[in-house]
Amino acid sequence: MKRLLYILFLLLLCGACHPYAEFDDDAEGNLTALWTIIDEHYCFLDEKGVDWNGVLPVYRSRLRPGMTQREYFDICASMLDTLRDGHVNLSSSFNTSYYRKWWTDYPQDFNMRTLQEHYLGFDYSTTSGIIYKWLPGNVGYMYIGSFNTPIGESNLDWILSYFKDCKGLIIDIRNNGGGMLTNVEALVSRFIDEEIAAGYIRHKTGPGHGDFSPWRKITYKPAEERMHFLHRPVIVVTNRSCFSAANDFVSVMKQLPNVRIAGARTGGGSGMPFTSELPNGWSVRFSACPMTDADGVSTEEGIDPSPGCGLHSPDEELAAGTDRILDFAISLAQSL
Amino acid sequence: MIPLKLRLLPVLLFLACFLGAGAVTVTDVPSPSDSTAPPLRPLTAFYGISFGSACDFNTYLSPMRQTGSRFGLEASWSRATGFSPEKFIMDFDARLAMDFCRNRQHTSSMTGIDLTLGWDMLYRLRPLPGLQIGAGAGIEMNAGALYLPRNSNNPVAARLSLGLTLNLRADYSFRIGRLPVTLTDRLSLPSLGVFFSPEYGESYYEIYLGDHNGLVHCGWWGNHFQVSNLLLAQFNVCHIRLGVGYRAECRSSYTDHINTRLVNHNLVIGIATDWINVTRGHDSSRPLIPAAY
Repeated sequence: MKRLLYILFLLLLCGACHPYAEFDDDAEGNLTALWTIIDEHYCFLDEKGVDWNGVLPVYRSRLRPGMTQREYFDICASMLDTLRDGHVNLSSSFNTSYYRKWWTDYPQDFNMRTLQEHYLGFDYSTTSGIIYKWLPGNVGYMYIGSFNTPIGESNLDWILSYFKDCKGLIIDIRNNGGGMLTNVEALVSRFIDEEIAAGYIRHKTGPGHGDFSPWRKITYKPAEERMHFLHRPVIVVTNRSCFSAANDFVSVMKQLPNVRIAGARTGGGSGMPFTSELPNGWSVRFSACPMTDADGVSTEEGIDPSPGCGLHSPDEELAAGTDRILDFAISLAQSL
Repeated sequence: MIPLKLRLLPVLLFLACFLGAGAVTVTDVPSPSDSTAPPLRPLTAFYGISFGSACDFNTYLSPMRQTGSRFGLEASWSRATGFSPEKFIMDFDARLAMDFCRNRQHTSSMTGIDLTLGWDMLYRLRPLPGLQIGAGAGIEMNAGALYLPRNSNNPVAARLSLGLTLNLRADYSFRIGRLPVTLTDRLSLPSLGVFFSPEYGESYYEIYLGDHNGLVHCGWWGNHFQVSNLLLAQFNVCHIRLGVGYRAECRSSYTDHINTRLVNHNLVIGIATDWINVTRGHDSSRPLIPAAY
């Protein structure tokens, strides 16, 4: 009986023994916490060939007594920049860090004023954040600048019924920095008449850099009893600032036979971001679940336009009222 | 403007009278051995509110502990069993609570919801006059979620568990002057069971897509430890008992490298009554066997 009670007592102790790392709320502790969060949760360390173990000593050596909060923030943000990922942000009450080189080192290829003035004539319809209008030549045009807010199904019905007699449709997502993946599914489901593979996703199963679950296929189904746009040319217009969910939209649409991707290579961002926090209350966002296209190819670094459809819109032409990418898309929609 | 407390007072008094109207006092009842008629088994009900402190920690959401307050409602019903009513009692517990926590720097807030439903059956002994000790087992279902709105694709950590529990209960009745008092301690210790947890870095979007592998885990004290203890003093006032107590609860789990610890301490205030089914007429000759003597 005594032995049984002893075992029972040990089992009780076992139940309370789930150790976890606690970090001090000082410069060293917060930097180590930040490094550990990325080390254990970030999903692209191996894919990008980042020597994360070598990063900590470098940035730890930059710490010095008496640093201001802003100086300390900049050191932490610089450490995160080594990941080269637009999904990685450090947020404090006074600043949010961004890695911007994924788009700042490339042409913008887009000017909203030029679009509105010279192509839409400041006369267009807007619903659910989508700008749309008939363009000359029997071509429908939609501009989706963000996937941050839900796209209403009935709004899509109105838009697609408006374009039901169009010869072709242009979906312009330039400068779309992403948002909700459910918007991608809602939109794609209007352009398919059978279930398609949209890509693959996996997640980390442990803190090791290579601890991943098997890839899981993502499938999209056609929208039931809704307006569709099928078997007619669809041109998706892109630039380098198409990121995250917009990048995912391009990867799914690209596989459809009646769809062409026109413009510039997208910005990438195929990791679904998670958020965590540091002892000092700052939060850090990072890519946690990698996704690929339907062929199993990573789109983290971006997606190229369809063959023969890659081009840029120079700034001087945009300033003069000409959008070369959009002109190309209009002619492509008429000729396909 | 009448203060809120004064406006609530008549409502509370009415509630107490309403609950007390159908109740009986079960102290000094005739011994079961006085009669061979089937005994009456009053239902002892306790309804209370609780408030106190909460410390929530879940590494799926954040590696930092969040602390704050907890508010809850709880009810329990106890009754001697139909068979061997002198030896066995059953309890049913229902508790609903919400946590409102913040991180140490107050830069984020976390909300938690917690629902517990439990049923148990206890074997009871009366080793000393006024003292009843019970031990037994039961089942418990716990469901809840922690919500950290500033997180992007991991804002929620949901939990669901179902398991067998070990239960202990002690009731000691005594008097302070002329005031009858019952001191009760109830311990619930879930042991074996199953519980839900996503994998280490699994998003709920993947679960929505249909990835249900590895979501259900077998739980034992090594990976899923929970304990709840309520110490309650009940004071007989007219036909009801006013209860004041302290509840301590700990829920801890560790699976797929996700560490969860929820610890809270609460003050419990409520009223208890004993109910008798009189639909077939009340026979005063039938002995009463309450859940706690």
